[in-house]
Order: sequence, then C-alpha cells, then structure tokens
Amino acid sequence: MNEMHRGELPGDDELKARFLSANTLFLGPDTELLADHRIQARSTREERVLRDGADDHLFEEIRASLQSALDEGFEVTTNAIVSPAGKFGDMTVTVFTANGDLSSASLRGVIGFCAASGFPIRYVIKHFEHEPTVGVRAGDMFIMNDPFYGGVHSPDQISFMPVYHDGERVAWVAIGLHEGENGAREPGGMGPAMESPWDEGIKMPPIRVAENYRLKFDLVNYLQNSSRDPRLVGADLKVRLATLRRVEARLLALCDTYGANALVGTLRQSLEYVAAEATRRVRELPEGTVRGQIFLDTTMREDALIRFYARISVRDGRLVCDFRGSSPQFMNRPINAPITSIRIGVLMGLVSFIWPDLPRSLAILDPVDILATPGSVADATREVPTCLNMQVFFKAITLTQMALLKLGFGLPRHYGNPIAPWFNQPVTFIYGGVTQHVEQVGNLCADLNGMPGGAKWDADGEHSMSPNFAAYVDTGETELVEEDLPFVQVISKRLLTDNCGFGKFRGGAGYEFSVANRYSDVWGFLALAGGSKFSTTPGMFGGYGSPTYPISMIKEVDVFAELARDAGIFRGSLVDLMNERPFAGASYRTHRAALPFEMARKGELYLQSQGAGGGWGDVLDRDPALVAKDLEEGIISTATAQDIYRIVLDPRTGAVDPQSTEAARTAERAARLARSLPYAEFAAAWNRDTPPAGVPYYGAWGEDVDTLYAGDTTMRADAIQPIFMPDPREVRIAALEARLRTYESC
Amino acid sequence: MKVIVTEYLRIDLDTEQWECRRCGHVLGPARQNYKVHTRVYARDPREIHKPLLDATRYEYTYAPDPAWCAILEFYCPACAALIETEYTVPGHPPINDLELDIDCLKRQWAEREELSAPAGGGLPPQVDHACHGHAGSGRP
Repeated sequence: MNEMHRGELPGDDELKARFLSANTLFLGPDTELLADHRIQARSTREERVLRDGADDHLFEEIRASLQSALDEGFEVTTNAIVSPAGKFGDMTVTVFTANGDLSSASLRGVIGFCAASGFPIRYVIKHFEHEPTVGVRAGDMFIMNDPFYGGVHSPDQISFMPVYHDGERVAWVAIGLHEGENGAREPGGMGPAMESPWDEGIKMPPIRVAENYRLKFDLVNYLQNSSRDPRLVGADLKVRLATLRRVEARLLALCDTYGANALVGTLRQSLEYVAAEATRRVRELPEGTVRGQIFLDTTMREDALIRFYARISVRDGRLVCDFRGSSPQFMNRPINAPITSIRIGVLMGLVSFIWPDLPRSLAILDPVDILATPGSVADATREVPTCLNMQVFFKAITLTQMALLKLGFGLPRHYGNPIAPWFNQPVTFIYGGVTQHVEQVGNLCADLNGMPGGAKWDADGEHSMSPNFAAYVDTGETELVEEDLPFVQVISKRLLTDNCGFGKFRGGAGYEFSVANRYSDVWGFLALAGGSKFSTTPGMFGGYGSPTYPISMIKEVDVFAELARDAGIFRGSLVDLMNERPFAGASYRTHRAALPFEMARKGELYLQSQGAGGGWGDVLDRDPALVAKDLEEGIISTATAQDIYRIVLDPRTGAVDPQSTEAARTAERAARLARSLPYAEFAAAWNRDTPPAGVPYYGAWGEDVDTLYAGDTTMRADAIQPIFMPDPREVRIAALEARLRTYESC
Repeated sequence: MKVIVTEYLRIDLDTEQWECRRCGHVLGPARQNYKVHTRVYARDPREIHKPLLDATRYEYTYAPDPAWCAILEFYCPACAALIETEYTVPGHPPINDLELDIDCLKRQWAEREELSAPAGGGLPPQVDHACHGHAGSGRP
C-alpha cells in the first residue's frame, strides 16, 4: 500500500498476484512438482565436484559403503519396528542428493518407495526451507503419508532427514515403510469400505516431527491420538528416528574419511549413471507399440468390470507408457490410483523384472513418459479415495513387464531372466480388534508377501515366493504371530492343487491359508483382493494365466469347539472343508476376495488362497516328465495332466506313457485346428461394438480411448466424470423390497 | 536375417514376413498384426481353470465367470502351436498387442548377428560406473 501512495500503482493483475503470494489460503499438494520425475540439474556444488572428472575408484569405494549403510538401516529397522509389515520387510531405506534426487536404496524391500520418497523431500525444500515458521536444519525428521504429496498410499509412511556437514546439506536419508493402522474407517489403514479420502485416516503432508534429533512430544501425542494403536505409532517413530540417525552417522563418517565433496559427487554420479544407462537400454529396444489390458473385476464393494489399458511404445529413445482408455475414477470406492502410483508401478515393472541389475533409482525413469486421462483410475484426483490404489498400479507392474518382454525377448542381451507375469494381487487378511494382551490393534497379515512367481522362459515359476512389489521379504512366522494376536492360522501355507498358470513352463502355485479368532471378544477381519471372476495375471507367449479365487467362510460355528469334540472331522484344505462341509450346522459361503471389515466370532473360519504366476508357452510343449513331477507333488490334478497337458498315464503304474502321450498331443493339435477359425472369420463373428449387456463395464472398449463406458452410460474422455456407486446394502434392500412387494400383491 | 520376437514368432527381415518358430510356417506380412495370420478359438475359461468348489452351492468357485471372461487362443495355422492367449471380455475385439517398426528393426539388426535361439537370461552385465552410457556387455 505504501508503494501505491507513492504513485506507483500496480496494475490489477500484479496487485492480485502480490496479494495471493502473500496470503496462501492452503498450500496443498504441488502438482507441478509431482509431475516431473526426471533428475534435476546439477547443483553448483555437484557441478564443481564433477566438472573436472570424477575419481571413479574412490566413488566406487564410497558407493559400496553407502550400500552397506542402507542395508544396515534396513536390518536395524526390521529388527526394531512394531509395524508387522515393517518386520516382514515391506519398507526401504534410501539416500538422496542434497536436492532430493534418489541416489541409492537398500537392496531388500519395497521398490515403490524409490519412486515416491523424493517428492516430499523436494516439497520441503521448495516450500518449507525458506518458510520462517518451518525451515530445514540438521536433526530434523519429517514424516508424511498423503499420496498427493508423493506418497504411495495412506498406510505407507515416509520419514526423512537432511544430512549436513560443515553447515552445508550434503544429502537426505529416508525410510518408506508400511505402517498400517492410521485411524482410518476400517482398521489397518486400508479397506474396501473407504468411501472418501476422509475415511482413510490421518493424511499427513510433510510435517516435521523431530527437531535436533528429538521427537516433538506434542506432535507424537497428536499422531498417537489419531490411530487405534498408539503403541505402534509411538514406538515406530522412535525406530524411524534411530535408523535415520544411524544412516546419517554413516554418511558423516564417509564425509570425514573421504571429504564431503566425494560423497556429494558419488551421490550425483550414481543417479546420472543410472539415467544414462536406462536411456541406452531403451534405445536398444526395437521401436514399436505393445498394447495390453487387464480387467479389474471389483470395486471392492461390488462386482464390476473395470478396464486398465496400456499402450507402451518405444520411439526416439523414449519409453512412453500411455494408460488412456482406462476406466473413469470412482467417487466412493478406494481403488483409484494417482498417476504418481502408476509411476511407481512402471518403475517396479522395470526394476523387478526387466533390469534387475540396475541400482534401485528413480533415475531409471528418466527416459520414460507416463500418460493417463486426469480423472481416470490411472490418474485419480484428490476428491476420491485411493488407499487401495494397488488394485490398479500393481497391474501397471504387470503390463510394463509384459510390454518390455514383448519388445525385447528377441534381443541378443537380457539383463534378467525373461519371466512371465508375477501374481499381482494383495491376497491377505487385515485384522482389527482387542488382543489377548488387551491391546487395540489393526494391521495386516504378511501373507500378501506370498505371491507366486511367473514361469521363466526356461524353467517353472517359484511357488508363493515374494510379492511383485518387493524383493527378499518374508511371510512371517505363524507361531510368532499367534503369540501376539488372538487368531490361529488353522491352515497355513499349503499349496492348492491346480492353482498355477499352465504352460510349457508353469507359473508358481499359490498357497492357501486361513484365520480364525480364538481368544478375543472383539475381533474382525477384512480382505482386499480382486480376481474372483476375471483372472488378474496373464500368461506369456501362449501360457495361461492365474485362476480366480474367492474368500471362503465357515461361520455360525466354533470350529475349535467342534475339533475339541472330534479332531478327525478336520480337513487340511479349504476345498475339502467347503465341499465336504464337516461342521454340522455351520454356514458355508464364498465371497468375492474383497471383504469389508466384519466382526468374527470365536471359531469362525475365513479361508483364502493366493492366485498364481502366469505360465510361459504352449501347454502341449511341456515336458511330460515335468507334468508327472507336478502330479506327484500335488501341484496339479490328474484331470489337469490329462485334459490340459494331454498326458496319458499308465493306469497300472501311474507313469507317463510316452507314445500314447505323443498321440494324444497330436490329436489335440488337430482338434485345435478343427475348432478354431481363421482370424477374419472369427473376428466377424466375435467382435462387438459395445460391452456385453448385463455386465457392469467401465472404461474404453477396443481402440477408441475417447469414449468411456461407465455402467449404464458413456462419457467422452475429455469430459470425464467420477462414478458414484450406490451403497450395496441399499441395493440389496431395494431388491428385497421389490420381492416383498411381489409377494404382497399376490 | 531372421529375428526372434516371441517364443513362437520370428520375423524374416529380408521377406518382411512373420514366421512360426515351431514349424517355420510363413504366417504373413510383418507390417501387419500377427494375429490376423492365425486361427482363433474362444475358450470357455472354466475348461482351463476348473471350479474347485461345488458350483451348485457357491457363487465363486475358483473358475472365472464365462459371462465376464473368455480366453482367446491364437494358433499357428500349420502346426497349431498356441502362439498367444488373451484373457478378454466376451465380444471385445482382440487387441493388436505387438506392433513393431520393421524399418527400425532392420537398422538395429544390421549391426547385430543373427541368433539361432533366444538369448535368455544369464549373468547380469558387468557394470562399469566409470563409463557413462557404456555399460559392460551382458550375456556373452
């Protein structure tokens, strides 16, 4: 105003801009910052250190020490953390340049944090470093979990600390870890019943929770107050701080030993190397386009066919991952994925299955562009819930993996063993309630880490090996879990027969498992997988995909009381339990693999099974000896050996009859030609212009990505609107009332 | 020169034709979608993923729902090799899943030696951090 009195009146626009910059109503997420995943320009110091060439031997020595520090941080955390997922390894420890570019990560754990953790650091640098009420100093620890500030999904919390040497920031260190319970509508921090972002529990943009290496007691109290499990929150904040201090100390020791410039140069050189190498590898691929689609079959509350579509192209040295044509987002269902999580999926697909030799770094995505329609399930907005975004971005892992393999299988060089799609669903139980130790808890079982692997190009896939989003993690010790928690895994980790992707080489089989509340008067479970009507995981080059799988429930009975009376009635497989129904008077039913939280009385049994890894190649090319081995080990049934692999067994010995098998396979090949049609004839009879009537279909149909189906209506992609689903209970009530009216009118 | 593309497909760069790697059958022009040169069958998914639970008692049985899911099987018209499977919605047009730039392929393979078999996996390349943009070789 003083300036105006001096006669230097600003124009309206300038005045508005000045007012707005001085009066921020709500800072909020920084979409511009989130949109750019490329490595930033060298800082002045980095340029100074690297300008005249680097001491590569020295940098390699430092790099090895850095890796050791990160892996040590990982071990420290897994051994001290309270979060069950953290104990099992669903976490990562990372180190960044002073400007927030990821340089390196622990070898074990969740790769996704490598695509996430840098953005909240950049946010703090951009918005808080020079903000007088915040600032950034040595000894600070920030924490965040909101995916619209760069997080993965709300149960995952990222904490980070700047590292200063001689008063100048040289690095950041971070831990990303699935914390779980966060005060959401359902226990455990994620679940099918989340109908708005405000159902998803505490939403933290980056906040400073520790200063001068001490947790701020008022904030800790607030965070604990926001969760069902204050013990978990309080203890794990301490573990996070201790780990970051430990890694910081290791970095400062490197500065003292080699000089801070050497550390700065190493951090920068590593990510520049990765960016250059990833770019070179993209150029190695043939140019072209791979198209792929996977259909989600549930919103988590109702069955729905939801398209996730990818066109992945290599052109002019860029890898373009285009997810336009995917379904509109759902206003009141939690499966929507911010595009930042799609980016995570793309990175996971590349790091886990295509270039596993590269250091884990976001710089791998330097030659990658990611496109999606804003307002779709692949580019969700802040207005919709996103805690189960894995339903979409896990499929981005699969489609990226498949695309790079289709483009690159013929290359003269591979960087990892070519492998069919890994199983891609979080099949597990999340529990909540009061334990036998009178503690209120809500968190997840580690069974989601038991995903089976895809078939390799030259060998069968691994059974229930590790999740598609992490490496070298654990499924937990059942006995230890049962000491802490009031449920018993009545069936634990038993491979289910015929639950694998068939092929020349078969995908790994998935195990079945179960939970039953034994000791608690206040206890319940939820589940959050898709894939009960439509296979989630395809095969590769002629191989078949994963079967589908439901939740099975045996309720209105106390199985422990029944077994105490007669243990002989128990069956060791969910198939036998459900088909033979040994518990008289019990209620037996199946449910889609997504189950909103429900109370479980003592002795009620919930059963699930992992799906399967995809198969590789034609089933008729499978070595009969491998079929016989699968049969002997119970991986497949006799019916599968005969009907799918076309193996003929000697009825007396059970051994493979080679001559009859060859004849049966020859006959099957002739049958294939007889029952199939030339493509043009087939397409003329098969292709439809619209989705089938009676199937609730969401997303584009065919190649036209501009028209999106949304159940009973359609919309243009440039006028996309979120879909609001009715409450399934209201739908059910309306159906029952309609039936009632029919009876009343009779 | 013949370039391996998938488990069952290769491209003859000289004739620009898709070929079946199992029997050598010439499928058709490589600048077209390979699927248009195959025979196709829409498989009821329950034939492959059979119900494990009693379908008369339960809604979900471990078998896909055939009203929602079909498996398209693409066969070599000569030897009937199962070249590709596609899990799709009934009536959805088969997707053109693999479209290669043949001219680019020719340029790239002009500097490479023909492979008689897929390179597969093997040991990871020796990474030389000192050489930006010049990683060590992968499979020998």
